[in-house]
Amino acid sequence: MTILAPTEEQEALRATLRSFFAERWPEEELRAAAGSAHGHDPRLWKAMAEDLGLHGLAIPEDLGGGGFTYPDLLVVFEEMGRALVAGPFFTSVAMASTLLLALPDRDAQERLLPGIAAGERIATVAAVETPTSWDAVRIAAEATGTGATRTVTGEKLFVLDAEVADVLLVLVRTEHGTGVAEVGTAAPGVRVEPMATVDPTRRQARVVFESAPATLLAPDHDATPAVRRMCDLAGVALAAEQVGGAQRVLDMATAYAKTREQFGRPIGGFQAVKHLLADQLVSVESARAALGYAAAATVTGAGLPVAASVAQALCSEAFSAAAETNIHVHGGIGFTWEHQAHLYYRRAVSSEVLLGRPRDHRARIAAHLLAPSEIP
Amino acid sequence: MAEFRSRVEAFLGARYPRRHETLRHGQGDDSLVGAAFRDSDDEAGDLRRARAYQRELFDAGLAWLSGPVEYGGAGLGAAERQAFAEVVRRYDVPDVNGLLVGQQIVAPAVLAHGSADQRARLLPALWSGELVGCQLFSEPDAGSDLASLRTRARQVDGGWRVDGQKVWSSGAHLAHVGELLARTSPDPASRSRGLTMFLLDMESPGVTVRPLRQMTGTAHFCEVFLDDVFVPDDAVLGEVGGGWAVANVSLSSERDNFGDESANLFIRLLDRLLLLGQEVGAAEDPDFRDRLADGYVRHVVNQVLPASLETATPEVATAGTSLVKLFATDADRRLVQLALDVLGPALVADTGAWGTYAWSRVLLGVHATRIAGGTDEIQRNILAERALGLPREPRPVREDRRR
Ligand SMILES: Cc1cc2nc3c(=O)[nH]c(=O)nc-3n(C[C@H](O)[C@H](O)[C@H](O)COP(=O)(O)OP(=O)(O)OC[C@H]3O[C@@H](n4cnc5c(N)ncnc54)[C@H](O)[C@@H]3O)c2cc1C
Repeated sequence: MTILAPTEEQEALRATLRSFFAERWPEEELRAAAGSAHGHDPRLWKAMAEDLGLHGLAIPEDLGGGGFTYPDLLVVFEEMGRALVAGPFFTSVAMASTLLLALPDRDAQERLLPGIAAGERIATVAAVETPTSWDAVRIAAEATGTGATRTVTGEKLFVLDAEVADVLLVLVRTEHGTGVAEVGTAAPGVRVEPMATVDPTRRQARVVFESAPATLLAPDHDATPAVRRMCDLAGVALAAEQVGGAQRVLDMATAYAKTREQFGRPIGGFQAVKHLLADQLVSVESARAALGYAAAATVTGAGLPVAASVAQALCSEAFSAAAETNIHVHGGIGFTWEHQAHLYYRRAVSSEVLLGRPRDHRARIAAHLLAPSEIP
Repeated sequence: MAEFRSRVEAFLGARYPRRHETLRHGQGDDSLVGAAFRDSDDEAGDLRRARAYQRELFDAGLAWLSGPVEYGGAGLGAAERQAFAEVVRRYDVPDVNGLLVGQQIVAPAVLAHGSADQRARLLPALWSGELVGCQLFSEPDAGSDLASLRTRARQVDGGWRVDGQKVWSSGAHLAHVGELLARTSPDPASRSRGLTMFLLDMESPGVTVRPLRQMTGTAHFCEVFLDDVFVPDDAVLGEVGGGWAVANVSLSSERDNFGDESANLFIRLLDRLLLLGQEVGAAEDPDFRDRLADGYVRHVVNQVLPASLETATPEVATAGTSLVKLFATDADRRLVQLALDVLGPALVADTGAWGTYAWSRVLLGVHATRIAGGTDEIQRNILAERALGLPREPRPVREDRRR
């Protein structure tokens, strides 16, 4: 078992991003976006695309991207998780563009990816229909018609950042199994209903389709493998975000423990607090190790589904636990609206259930383990 | 690397059965006692087999992979060590537990602080299994607070005379050489500055070793009485008064090795738990599946955490062995608890069914891992202070001031 150690280029990219977000995404901007109508900052979005080319980083060059590797992109997600960047980057890049790249439909890739890569088009994936689990397999939405020309009817839940998206990639039932239908958010028969969300930095919506005109992508294929691949790769991206967020809240709690004094000494000198933070360090570093393992699998492809679930199970729990500890170590101030601790906690819990809860991922791992073969 | 792997495969394949061929529920020895739990029913036999296996490894250049060639090492890197661990895991090889203290605790200190003569005499001997080592640090009144130890060494003609008592010394009754930490000068300014490390010949007159029965039932660790024991000058390891630095090399390597050792044991337990779950009909139980998968997640992390920590910040990397140890002790306990929940009464009373009551030894033995090599609390202190930079624990109350 190996991990992918960061390359020099990735460390340079990390340093660039760290100072970019420090400058462009101070707490005031984060709070403004979190309190805004759509949880999105178009100016930051534009700078991320135009100054740094982040959206297209892992999209091939002939489709308008930068042609970098997926592990390079993971550095971006880790730094964005650390900075708690609001907006549709995750859904447009980790989900929609990954799904498009996994589908055998060159026309759709050429039509949609250059715009996504340039940050000019925002795409999102409408997958889930069951209310209590993030499930991209149980699909009832129908795509009637033939070939690529269809109309979609159905209802999707938990669609990320649908209000600011231009394009919806809707998972539908077709004669081949699962299909991916491209629907414009402004098309007739599409109704985007924002849901109240715990996390103001990543919005969700219910989207209702009533005979909405659609283009079925790769119409002669079952899209199930592409959907699975999207879930795996986006899961690793989410794990990277979680590691970044977890490290940030651990740093925050540690810094506070060094300066806040009670009983005449820093609270970080009390062993109960020291041990709380030491345990979080173990948890964050083990999450980082699991991410490194999954990052290696995105390159080799070997065992990616299990590796992605290993990373998701651990990184989800690590971020939530670290965010919770951060609130606790801050005491009363940690429970205020003014402190950032709750913003990270909100992101942590909404991420914990996105693409499957830790126990859903463990169920996948168990299915693999209990299939007859040797433990790898 | 592929060439190295096939060399290891060839060496092991010619001598030992592959493990998955022997791993069937209900077949073969169902014992689960393992290295990390320092527990065995036939220590003398285990040690004999371990030494014979170690000799063969040594002669094939596969014993001390990362060691320098001049002292019998293979001069290879971490990648080969990991490759060896991955391959050897698949073979049913003798348990080398009895040799680990010498190789993983004593040898690193000799390599780092020994004279040319000490290195040449001890390193090949420890790594070929010719000599067995033990660690004589802990005392009845000095455990976590090791620097408070009281065993005294007085300078005499040609050497030193040692008086005192050591305790919890693993395998001391089978060892030839002991890494002995003693106080050579009571330095009132610093408790640790007055300590010196010695390489004690366990056959020396005045050394009495008494095995202590552990909670598992076997007697593997010992108390060691030192009564006016003569130790020659050339047995001082490192500087006189420099024993603390030598001890720290051993302690850090002990923790480091703990990670490897426990990762290897963990996969064996996970394998067996999987078979057990299928055998007793727990394979469809969602709770079993969830926790088995959690065990697998932790198995993966056990395997990749040390490498991942090498790229962490310098502060975190230097405390990496403490982090690995804490992760592993937690993972072990979760797995053992799962075995208890799967087996229920069959873990605490022997029904005679294969591979069930065997878990009771693991249940009892697992507690050692949170104590030996520095307790969980001491590891947390180390992480909090060195990796996170939090305030240090209050200074110990000094004897002279207290009086
Ligand atoms: C199986 C086994 C094998 C061993 N083998 C060897 C060996 O070969 N050689 C050798 O020298 N020693 C050996 N040891 C001894 C081991 O290193 C000590 O037991 C260990 O360091 C703890 O010391 P102690 O037993 O005196 O417990 P104590 O130090 O008295 O600790 C008792 C409890 O107090 C807690 N505690 C102590 N100090 C602090 C603190 N500052 N902050 C918070 N909590 C604290 C501890 O965590 C523990 O829970 C072995 C122990 C075991 C169990």
